[in-house]
Amino acid sequence: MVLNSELRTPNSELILEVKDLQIHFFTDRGVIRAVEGVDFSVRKQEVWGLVGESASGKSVIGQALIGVVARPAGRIVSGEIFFKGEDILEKSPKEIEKIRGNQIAFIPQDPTTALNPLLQIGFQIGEAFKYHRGLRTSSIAEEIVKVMKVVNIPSPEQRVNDYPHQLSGGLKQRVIIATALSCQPDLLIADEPTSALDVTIQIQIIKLIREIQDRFQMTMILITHNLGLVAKMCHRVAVLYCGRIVEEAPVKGLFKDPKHPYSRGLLASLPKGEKGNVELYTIPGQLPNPLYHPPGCHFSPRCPYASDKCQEIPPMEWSSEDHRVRCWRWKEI
Amino acid sequence: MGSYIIRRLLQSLIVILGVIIITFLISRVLGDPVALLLPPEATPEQRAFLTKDLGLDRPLYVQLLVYVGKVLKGDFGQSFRHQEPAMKLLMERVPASLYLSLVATFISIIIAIPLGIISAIKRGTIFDQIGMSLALLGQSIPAFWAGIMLILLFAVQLGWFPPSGYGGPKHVILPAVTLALFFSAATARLTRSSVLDVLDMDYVRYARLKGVPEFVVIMRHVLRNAFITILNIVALQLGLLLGGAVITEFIFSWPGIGRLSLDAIYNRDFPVIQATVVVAASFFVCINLLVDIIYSATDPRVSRK
Amino acid sequence: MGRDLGELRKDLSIIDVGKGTARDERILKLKKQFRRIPKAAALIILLLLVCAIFSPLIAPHDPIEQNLPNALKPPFWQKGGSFTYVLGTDNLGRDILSRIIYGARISVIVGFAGVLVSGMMGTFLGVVAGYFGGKIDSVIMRLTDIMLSLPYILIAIAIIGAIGPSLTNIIIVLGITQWVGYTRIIRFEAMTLSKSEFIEMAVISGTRWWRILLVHILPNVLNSAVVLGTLDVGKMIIFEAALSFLGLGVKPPTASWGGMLADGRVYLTFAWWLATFPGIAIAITVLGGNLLGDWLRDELDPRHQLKA
Repeated sequence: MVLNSELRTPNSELILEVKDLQIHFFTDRGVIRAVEGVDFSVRKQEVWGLVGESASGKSVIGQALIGVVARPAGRIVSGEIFFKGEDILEKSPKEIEKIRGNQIAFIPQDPTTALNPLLQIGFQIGEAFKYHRGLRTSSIAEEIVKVMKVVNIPSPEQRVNDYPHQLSGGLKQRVIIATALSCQPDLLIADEPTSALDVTIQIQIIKLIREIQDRFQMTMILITHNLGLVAKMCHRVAVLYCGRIVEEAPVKGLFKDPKHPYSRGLLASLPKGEKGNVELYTIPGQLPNPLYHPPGCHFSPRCPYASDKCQEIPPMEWSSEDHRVRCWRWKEI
Repeated sequence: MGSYIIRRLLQSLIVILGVIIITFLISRVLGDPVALLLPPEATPEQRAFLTKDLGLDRPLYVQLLVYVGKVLKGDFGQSFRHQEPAMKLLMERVPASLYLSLVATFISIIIAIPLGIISAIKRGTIFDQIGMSLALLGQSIPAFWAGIMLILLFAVQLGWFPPSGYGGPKHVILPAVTLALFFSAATARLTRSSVLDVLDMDYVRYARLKGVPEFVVIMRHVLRNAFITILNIVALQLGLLLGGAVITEFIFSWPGIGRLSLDAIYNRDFPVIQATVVVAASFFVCINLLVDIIYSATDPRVSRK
Repeated sequence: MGRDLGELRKDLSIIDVGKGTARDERILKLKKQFRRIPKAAALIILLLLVCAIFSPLIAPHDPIEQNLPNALKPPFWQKGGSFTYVLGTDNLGRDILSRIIYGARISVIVGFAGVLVSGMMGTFLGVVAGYFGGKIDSVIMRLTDIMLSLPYILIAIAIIGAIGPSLTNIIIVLGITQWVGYTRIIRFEAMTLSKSEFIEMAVISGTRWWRILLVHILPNVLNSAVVLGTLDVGKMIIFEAALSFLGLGVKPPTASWGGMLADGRVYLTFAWWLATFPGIAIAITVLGGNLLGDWLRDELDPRHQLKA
């Protein structure tokens, strides 16, 4: 497994601090506690990974960071999100509009649905320029072509007038990335940037994102279910299970020595390229119903090390200077 | 795009042809023109003569072909009732119907579309609930009853408007509002649902993610994409309006094609009935064709391959 | 956190910070209330059915019996009115209320029978068009286009004018003109279904086409058909009322709401109640049908599960 040895060590100043974030969804059938008390911080120029299965709440966190939580059902019940020292949850809609796309950029999962089919791609890339940098139309055209070149879109001068349906999936994702980069954001959030693409294209896009991160020394939050991606791209990674972070560590540390039973299960289920008939490990049990999370540690019903104490929510503890885990029994296992 | 338009054109022609054939069949089924044209005392020889004269003794498919040929030239024959070409009678009444329909459409568009859009944007709020309740009410009230009630209130009780007759704004307003009632209600609801569909689209969300101001998101992304659907809705309603104005014209004694066709049906005046049906149907088909052409020209997915 | 960012809340996409559980409970309650709407509609329909079925028991007077000395009595709250004839009498001295109650029979029969006939026709054609595709589909689609472009009122009037007004004929005409609404939508569903794997399996394993249609496709489109049907009941009732209004509906002296409207129109200037009450009856009934249909559609719409 290729690790992130080529990534430069990030600056240790914090750009993002999330404290006790709680996001609930109020539906006809009950309350879904999608995010239950999540704390983390991201340093400048760091690539921070958030790993989890679907329904773990990872996408919701990504959305919350940029200020879109699915209304009317979803609501941030409590918590603080400090971006560059200011709590963005306290800001007015207009202020947040200024931050979005400008200082914090977002790369959504599916490039096909993210682009308006009736508008030219050049225009859609330039929208961000227009509202954040207030450039005049003449200079915008240049800038658009420039950023298209950064993401390696061939013949950008001609493609500017194309419509989304005329582009392949990979190209569309490059357009999205170009849009995200257009205002040189301080923080880039990528939500499953490759999941909607063909495998061969995925590799290209991952390479592109790495290049960009390297070149611009951009701070990135990578949200994914793909551990391999995390290994390639991230400095640190947090593992999310049912709305709670259960472990966070530098990538090397997590892969070498996972402390939480869930993380262990995840890593154990990765195929390791062994020869012969090897049965793949799967974590026993199933994800709990989002409406009814088990009391205490959400993972306890499936955990091989569960004990009575696990009926209480385990606190987050530091196993070493940069490695923390949320489990009562991490010391023993 | 060209092939799309040609295809639609062909389809439209087939539909109009089908309408013509159906009107032919219906009137043949409904009654014997000879019996209608002649007084009961007519002799068998007179009947035979007329039958031959009208070409009714030839086989059915021949009659059909002759009929279609004539219709395509605009010739529906002489009205049984009035001694004039049916087409001419019809055309005399078209302006009145058009006037009424356009006023009704105008009123509806001004009320319904903004209502639908704002209700969608403010989904779930009081505005939305009240707006849609009103729309639902409007769809539930039978138009002819509403017309009568309007006459009762505004003409009889208040005396602001005349209860019937043809004329300028004072005369057209009550019938137009009556027609507009159902039209607006349906349009408002359909507009709302199509705008809602667009609002849920990922690209709208993404535009916000880019930091585009909300107002611009609505104008540029939401409305532009909902536009063609709304246009479709309006066109459909407009097409239906011509046919549905029959009762309204009756209530308000409005001299349009609806009244004409109603009288024609009472009088078994087939040429006029046929003419009305074919013209009304053709109008509807043409409007839809127009909308489709506009769609193919404005949606890049169709106009550029 | 106790913050109430009112401005923030109104904005569609912005973070909505709540006050915590109390407010959320209220929102949940409101949503539960929304689900109560069909109860009002259900009540209306129930009332309609009761009137239709039990009319002899409920109606205070005979709806057909003429009573000329009592003609044109106003409703009880106006001068000259009384509680004997709660909503007044018409020009032949018949009790308006009783006529409305009996009129429900016509509306119910027309509403349900009309929907049944047109629904069956439309669904059948839609399923055939969607499943077989190709030429059959094209033909059926052209047919629906033609039917759609014909002004339905004129056609209905013309046909009734020819075969004569009667309840059965009205239902026939409704069936002939209204089936189109079902075909389009059912066809689309049938097409989607036909492409699904379990249909492929059925075809591969040799199931006959009529069995596939009957057992696999039809039950699955029934959902939509029922929703469309419920929404159409109101349309049918209005249609019948319109025809009766023009004198082409049920023959007098049978009480029909549309017919009452026609009678009432003549006396509008001095006996407003003849025309007003039947119209209200129609409006309420149709409203009930529409509400019910809407609710049904929302309940069965899979997308609705995502939106709270």
